[in-house]
Amino acid sequence: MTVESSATQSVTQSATQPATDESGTVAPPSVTPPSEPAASLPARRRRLAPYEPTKIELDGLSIRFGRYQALDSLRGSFGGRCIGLLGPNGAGKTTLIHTLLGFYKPSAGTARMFGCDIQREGKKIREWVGYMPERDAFIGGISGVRFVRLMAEVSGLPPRQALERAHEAFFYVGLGEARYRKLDSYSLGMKQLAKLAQAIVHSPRLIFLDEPTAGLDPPARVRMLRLIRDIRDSGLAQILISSHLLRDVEECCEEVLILKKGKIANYCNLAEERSANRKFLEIETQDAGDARYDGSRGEHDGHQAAFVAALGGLGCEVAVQNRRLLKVVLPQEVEIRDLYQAAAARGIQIRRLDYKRDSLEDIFLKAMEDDDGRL
Amino acid sequence: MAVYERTYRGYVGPTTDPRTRSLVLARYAFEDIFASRLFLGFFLLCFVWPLACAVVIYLKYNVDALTILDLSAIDLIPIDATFFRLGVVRPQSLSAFLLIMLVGPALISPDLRNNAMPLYLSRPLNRTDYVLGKFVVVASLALAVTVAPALILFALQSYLGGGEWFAENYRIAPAMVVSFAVWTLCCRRSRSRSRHG
Repeated sequence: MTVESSATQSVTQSATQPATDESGTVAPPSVTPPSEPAASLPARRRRLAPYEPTKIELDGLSIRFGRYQALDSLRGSFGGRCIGLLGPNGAGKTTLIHTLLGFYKPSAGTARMFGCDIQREGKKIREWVGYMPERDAFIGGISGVRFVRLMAEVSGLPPRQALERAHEAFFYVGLGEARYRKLDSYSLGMKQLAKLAQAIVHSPRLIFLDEPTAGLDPPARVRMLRLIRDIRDSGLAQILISSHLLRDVEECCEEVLILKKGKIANYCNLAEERSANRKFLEIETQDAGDARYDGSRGEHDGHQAAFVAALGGLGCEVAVQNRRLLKVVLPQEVEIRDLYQAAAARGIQIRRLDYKRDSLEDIFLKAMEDDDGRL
Repeated sequence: MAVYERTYRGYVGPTTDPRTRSLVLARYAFEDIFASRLFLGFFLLCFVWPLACAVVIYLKYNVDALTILDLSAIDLIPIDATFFRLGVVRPQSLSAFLLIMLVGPALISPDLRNNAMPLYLSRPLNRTDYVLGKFVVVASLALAVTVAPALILFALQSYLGGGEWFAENYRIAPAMVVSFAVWTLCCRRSRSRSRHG
């Protein structure tokens, strides 16, 4: 795995590739007229060029809590429009996000975002970052819109603009009608949306979403994913999503960073993987002699081995999933009927045959495998 | 943008000075604190005693008022360093202590209870800014009930007592400011110690 090279490649692609809509046409970046600056306020303009894509550069980043190595010499450069951060519990996903936000001091190495070092220029970086934490996080006893306004002001928006943006953010996430209600009275789904509103209210360039769909019912989850995709497609912010839910990541993300035991297990561009992955056939077999097949394992294995060898002879690439399941990549010149003929000749019956591609689950499970192939 | 246009859009307007961000926390905290009737009542109560002291100082130098009340200036306590130490500094320090007891936990505990710290610290704020923002509130309230009335009383006495009194007692003002500052810091420190166990 060459994280550095594949990551750099994807960065170049994402940096030069404007947002495209579903039909594949290039959408011009939506330029918003600047808000009218208040005359009495210090008009300190943001120094970062608007909508400039950034890279998250990890340079030997390590975090150690006592004897526990949470992150172990992470290296790489990631810059897609939407990056999925995957990994089992304890892999270091949230620790990585917290370290990038400056909550933890690296025990070794460092990281850079927007060209700034996270240790020396953390405050500057956080001006352009939005964060939606995994756990419930809000300020009790105040209304939703006041909470989001406070967060906008702390991020540097003047009071009038902060209030305007807070209202907009609430309407954007679909909580417009509930914006004057106390946060304590919100349901879990509403709290998740309020957390998203506070993360985007100051128009960050990079948004960290930690388990954004955790605890949501199916309609709320669909709504949340739609919002994430909308933000991604706007081209105004890059998103890094940490999630256990592969389907959510698959629906939103273009790139995936898989962590395992504090190390990078895989980093891939999903679109490239999808286009690079050849279609393969998933074939379920059983012995032809006995449709009920309860014969000896050795006999079937012998037939299957012969069938696999025959497929190899036809020029197919074959992977044996288990005793009855094969994955086969067909060359151009081989037809399906050749498979049936080869199977019949070796006493094997093909019970099922599907065209498939590697899913994110396959990529994830492959990354989670130990050296001996076990999960 | 009108709110009916529910699309994501960026913000390219002005931003505030990073040095003033911690004051945002203070401003919101003040709004929350003064929304409480209990606090407002107690805060106003803290000014009753200085008002009584001001009346005493006024009476001391107002012969007409003394005549009406059938009192003489000698009957009233002397306005000197002891008056300010026992009559102003001590009661107002106690008021400040109670005020901090009332306000301090309400400033921090909602943030801790609702896990708001990651939200603050993911913004261009660090821990120092957060503490500073909250300390400004405590310090402002403490100063408002201690230093401000004490200095007003001192100014009133200096005005009514004349240059001679001021020349003899000018050290009272800085002494009160220092003693209040030390008191406030001690209160703040004891509050944070009790919070962190």
